Amino acid sequence: MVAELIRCVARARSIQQALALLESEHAHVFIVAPSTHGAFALARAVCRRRPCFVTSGPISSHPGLKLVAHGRAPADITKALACQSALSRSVISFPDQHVGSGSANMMIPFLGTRYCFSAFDALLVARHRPPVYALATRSGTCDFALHAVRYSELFTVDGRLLSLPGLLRRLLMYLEQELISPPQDWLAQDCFRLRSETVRWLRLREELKDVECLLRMHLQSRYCDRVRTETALAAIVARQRLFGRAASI
Amino acid sequence: MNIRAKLTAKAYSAVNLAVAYATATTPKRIHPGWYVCRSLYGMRDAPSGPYFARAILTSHWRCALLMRYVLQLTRPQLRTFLEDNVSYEGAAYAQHVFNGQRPVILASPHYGPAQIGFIAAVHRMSGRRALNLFYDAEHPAASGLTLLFERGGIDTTTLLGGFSGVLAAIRALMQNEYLVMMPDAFDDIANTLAVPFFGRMMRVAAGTAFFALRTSAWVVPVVALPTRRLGVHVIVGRPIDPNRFAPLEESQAIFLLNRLLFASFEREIRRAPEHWRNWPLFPRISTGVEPPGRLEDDAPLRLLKDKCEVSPELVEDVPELEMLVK
Repeated sequence: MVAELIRCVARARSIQQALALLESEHAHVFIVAPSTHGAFALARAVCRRRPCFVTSGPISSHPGLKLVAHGRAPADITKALACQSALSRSVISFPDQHVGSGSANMMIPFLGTRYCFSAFDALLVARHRPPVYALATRSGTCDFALHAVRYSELFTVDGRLLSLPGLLRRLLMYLEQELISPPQDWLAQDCFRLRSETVRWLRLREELKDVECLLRMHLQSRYCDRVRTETALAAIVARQRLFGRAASI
Repeated sequence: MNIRAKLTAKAYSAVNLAVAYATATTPKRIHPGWYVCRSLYGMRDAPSGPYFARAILTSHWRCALLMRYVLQLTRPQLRTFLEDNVSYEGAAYAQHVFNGQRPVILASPHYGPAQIGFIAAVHRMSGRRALNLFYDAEHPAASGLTLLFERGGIDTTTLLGGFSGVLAAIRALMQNEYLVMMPDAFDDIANTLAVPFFGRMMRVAAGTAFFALRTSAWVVPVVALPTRRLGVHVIVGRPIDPNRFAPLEESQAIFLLNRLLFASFEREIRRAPEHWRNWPLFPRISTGVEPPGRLEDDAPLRLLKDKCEVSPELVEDVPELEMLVK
């Protein structure tokens, strides 16, 4: 109980300090934060002070966190802010819980291996160039601070972005440090695990097994185009071996 | 008969009463039957509900007591038990296989008192040939299993896993011995294949089919379930001849043999699902096909087209699929 009380006091103080820092920033900001109780408390406080969008994901859309009114899917936020040179609202993003699909994702080096992240954060920053802050936990009592993230050197003089994955890595720099030893109140363990390259290879391998099963069943059908089915089957078996080997490395 | 065996037999006859009491007094979170129901939550055509939860607990306790009981019997007593307390179904289908010159693989899911089922099947058909099993000799249950087979008068060999185990199994089958396999369990999901099972695509070990195809061994599905009175009911399924699939390419033959074997298991498990031990694992080692029943009823190519529509990256990764689904 005493530990919980200390945590509450530390969190309240951290929120006050973070709000004071944001007061000095007149433009709308982009905040990158891990999915922790402290970060959600800050998001609620910021939403009360200024107009905000919060990226909705499997955790932040939980009604108990009281962020549903401000929650938007990353794609909806991008659409709502399109054709604006500067952000018309502050945006709070929780990249450890976004589940992108296909080309909306980028694989970047993270925590000594490779993880898949949504390109949303990097795209938003590349388009609107807002002041960016990252939340980082400071101690075991889960107190935190906002750190400004500088990224201007990732653009050329004439304003072109040098590398989108490079920008994403810069934006997630504090998140990576945070997740080396995750804070006690981090809630996104399960979502985050699914985004590592190894887990993605394993999932793909299992998906290919299902396809193989369907193809082998189809091969028994009277109306089967044997040549095409056998070609697809051979390709599936070869990919399974490849992905299996990649996952075990 | 010793006093402990008599007490175990008495306890067996009181299982129904004990389960009714335990289900009424045990919280749901620690009740094994409700644990299985929770694992299957969300699977639309899976068994569930209070009757199923009770049946699972009854099955667990009956199987445990049966195993304890047979381990307390002497060799002649075990022989008497196998003759008086075990009933058989479908044994006539397999008689010619057991009397024949080709090797035999006894295959069973992790279902009911499977070990007693194997001993009973061998005892009923012919007790002369040696039995080969894959199991971990250091597992706590292994010593009991060895003792059980010894008392059953069966010459048993334990096979190790890995390549040496595969070689030993093939050598044993070449010498017309029995091989016992439980293909619904595996050490590593990487070495499995998917076959239709209960309307889902379940991961299964390919070993049984591989051994059968390499040695022309008959595959005999054997399922054992505890009876209401102290005893076991053994169902011997229709033997599967691997030579039927010999003209096909080996991996297709392995798939078809496994599919046939698991269709046979499914038929038996549907009759009394509470005895299958792998229900808690089932959702994690299988992929669902919506709506339930579509895997059996719809054309596989249509299912594949839908799958590729849901995951377009599949066609990106394997462009050869495009020729089939577009």
